[in-house]
Amino acid sequence: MTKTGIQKQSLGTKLILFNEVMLVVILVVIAVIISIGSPKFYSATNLLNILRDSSMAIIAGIGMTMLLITGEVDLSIGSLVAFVGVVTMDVTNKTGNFFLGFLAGIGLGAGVGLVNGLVRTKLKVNSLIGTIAMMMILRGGVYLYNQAAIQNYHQLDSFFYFGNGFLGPIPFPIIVMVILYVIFLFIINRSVLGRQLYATGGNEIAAKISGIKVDSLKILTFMLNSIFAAIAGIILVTRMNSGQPNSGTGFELTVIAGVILGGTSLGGGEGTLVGTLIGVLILRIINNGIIILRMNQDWQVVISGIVIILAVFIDNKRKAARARIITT
Amino acid sequence: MSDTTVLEVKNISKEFPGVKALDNIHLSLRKGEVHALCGENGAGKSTLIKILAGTYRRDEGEILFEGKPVVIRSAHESLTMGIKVVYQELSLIPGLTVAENVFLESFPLKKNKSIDWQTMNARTTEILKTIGLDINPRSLVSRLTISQQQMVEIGRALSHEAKVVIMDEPTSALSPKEIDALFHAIRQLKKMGIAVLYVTHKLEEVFEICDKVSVFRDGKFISTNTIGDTSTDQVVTDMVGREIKTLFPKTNTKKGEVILKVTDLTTEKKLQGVSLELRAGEVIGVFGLLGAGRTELAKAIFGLDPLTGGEVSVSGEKVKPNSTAHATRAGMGLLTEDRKEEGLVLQMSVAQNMTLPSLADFSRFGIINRGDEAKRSQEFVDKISIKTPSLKQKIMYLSGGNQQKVLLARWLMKTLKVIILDEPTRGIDVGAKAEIHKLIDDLATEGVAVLVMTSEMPELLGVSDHIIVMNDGKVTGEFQRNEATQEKILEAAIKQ
Repeated sequence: MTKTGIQKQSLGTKLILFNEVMLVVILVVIAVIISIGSPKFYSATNLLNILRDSSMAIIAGIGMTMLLITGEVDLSIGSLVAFVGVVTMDVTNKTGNFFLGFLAGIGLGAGVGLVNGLVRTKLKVNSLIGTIAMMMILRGGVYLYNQAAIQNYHQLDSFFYFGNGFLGPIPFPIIVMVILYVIFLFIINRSVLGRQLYATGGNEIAAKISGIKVDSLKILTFMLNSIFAAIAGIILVTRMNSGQPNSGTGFELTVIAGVILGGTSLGGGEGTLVGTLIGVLILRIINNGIIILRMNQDWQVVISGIVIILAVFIDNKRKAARARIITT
Repeated sequence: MSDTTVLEVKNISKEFPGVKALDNIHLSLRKGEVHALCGENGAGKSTLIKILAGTYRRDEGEILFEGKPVVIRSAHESLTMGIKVVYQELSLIPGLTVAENVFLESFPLKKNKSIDWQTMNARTTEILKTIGLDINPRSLVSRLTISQQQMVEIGRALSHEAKVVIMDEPTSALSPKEIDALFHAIRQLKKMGIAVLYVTHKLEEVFEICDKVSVFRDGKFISTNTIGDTSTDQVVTDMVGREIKTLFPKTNTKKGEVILKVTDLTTEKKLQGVSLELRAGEVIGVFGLLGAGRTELAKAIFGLDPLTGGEVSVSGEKVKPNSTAHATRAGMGLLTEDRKEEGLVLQMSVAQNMTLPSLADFSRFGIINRGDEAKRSQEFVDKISIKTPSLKQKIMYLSGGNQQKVLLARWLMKTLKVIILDEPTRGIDVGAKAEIHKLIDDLATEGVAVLVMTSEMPELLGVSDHIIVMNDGKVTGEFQRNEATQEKILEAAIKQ
């Protein structure tokens, strides 16, 4: 009497439904192409370099993935990265204590996230618009804070180590990234909070009816997202060794591109951290390839743009394939 | 049939998955006739309108327009043929002027193919005057009242020289004065020889303005009568005159103390001071026709819609307004009418959908124990026989009836005091329906207070201990189970 509506799916359909598998294939194909052009690609130093350069986007990508899962987005993280860098450097200079500088940076991130969340949930401003406004406010604000770059007057080892140090053979930012990644992989997949993020993005009314405090949850996610961006900002300032108000330009786009490429949907309710990791890595490997193949570096941005269109196109195909399965 | 018949539908049937919406329907409209079409929700009125408007295609049967068989494939075809539907939700473009809306599909053009504004505005004024609306054709539609907009819609029909105008519940948003104006316009249409199909459940209007009345019930044609040969009682009897089969034997439960107390609930959208008391083990059925405010009541009690007045308490404790989180903590559960938009998280699995409100029960320090979750979900899959290949199956691949069972299991899993079920069996097949009715009975037996909003008479009479009838956001009738009859209930539901 009742049909369950399950059909045998062809292998092709299954593959296209399994986004991560597709992504790994793309990653491998790109890596092979680059390594044919330049054998240097596979050296341990180069691979660790790629990972270290990716760590900032991956850390910010953790927060962005959670935010997109709830159906929101944050375009202000690029400006936030610059502001956090300047503030961290300034406070460290003035106190002679990197820990206090670090806290100031994280605190700024948490505050900005709180404002973004309140603007979204209380003032009901669409997060795309609200965070573009925040992007402008922060970029203008950082120049008001200090017109020029703030140089390193403290010369603290701990400061230098955070972005440039090694633990054994592994660069320290990678360690930070891996620790955060593993913790949040667990939280997103196993915790009540994680489940509530998916429910809220998947169907906000259903989430509300199930007793989830949707507004509080969204504010928390905005804050986490900004804190992750602040951590990325602190890594960046220690690597540049100066707090530059013009840094982080376009960072938000790289992060969002990686997350979307990783299969997280802009509509909310879907997305995985595994996808985000591979998505960011694909973009970074392309960038790395452009450098070691000695192509014009301006191609980096152009190719990232093309990849994003392709990613969304594949995502649409995937959704259509799924819709076919439902309706047949 | 005489040559004055404009539109005739013969043996039309239309089936949707699980329901036969129209079963061998007949209807014929003559020139200059105002023909009422009556029936309860689900009678098939809207389906027929949508077939005539080109939104749906008929499965079987024939449509004759001016004696010739026609196929209506799209809204455009319907309109160019001469059928104009004026829906409840008007389809005007608010940012354009009155004249632009009236001539939307075919602007009058000058020789050089530019729009002839002068002719357009003049003709609009002329057309609208014939139906009694004196208005500047250059005003923006967004500035008009609902009643004026409706007139513009009718004007649109005239600009197309429509031969049939279908009006779907045209008076639901109008004041008495505006209704008079509408009736004046309808009489003008009649004079011009246009046939009007007037779809409504307000019987006094039928007897005021119509020449004939046809009744549908459960997708079947019941009767067509000339107004002079029939009476309100006869039409009501035709609308409800079904045998109620006892699909679900009701257990006589012991009623406990008052659990849910709703006092003077008022919302901006709809409710105008609704009060009720619901006891443990009791099932109250809330009946009302389309737009009566059933769903609004369910949402207001649960804190989904903001209140402008009144309060809700569970076991004597006041529930914080506008907080679903507090409502669930107080022991309430809500099954919404719109399963897909407001119930299911489509991307999630069967188990994940089921456990959403009770995650705290299987988690420690905020981490879900997936073994416990699976065990508990499996228990309910077995208990209420949800047909799914696995707990991990995404819920979107399940049938409507099984989706509904998952949503019910969502609340069965918790220890509830009150459950509110809004149209619990809409759009699901007969077998699953009976199972859900049995679940409602089981809940009451266990001492849960149950509030069922329904527009289906057999369901209402079958499951309820006590019946509340609503119309236009107010309670217009209350009946005990043994004193309730279909006629009394429907009368209360159409009472002004």
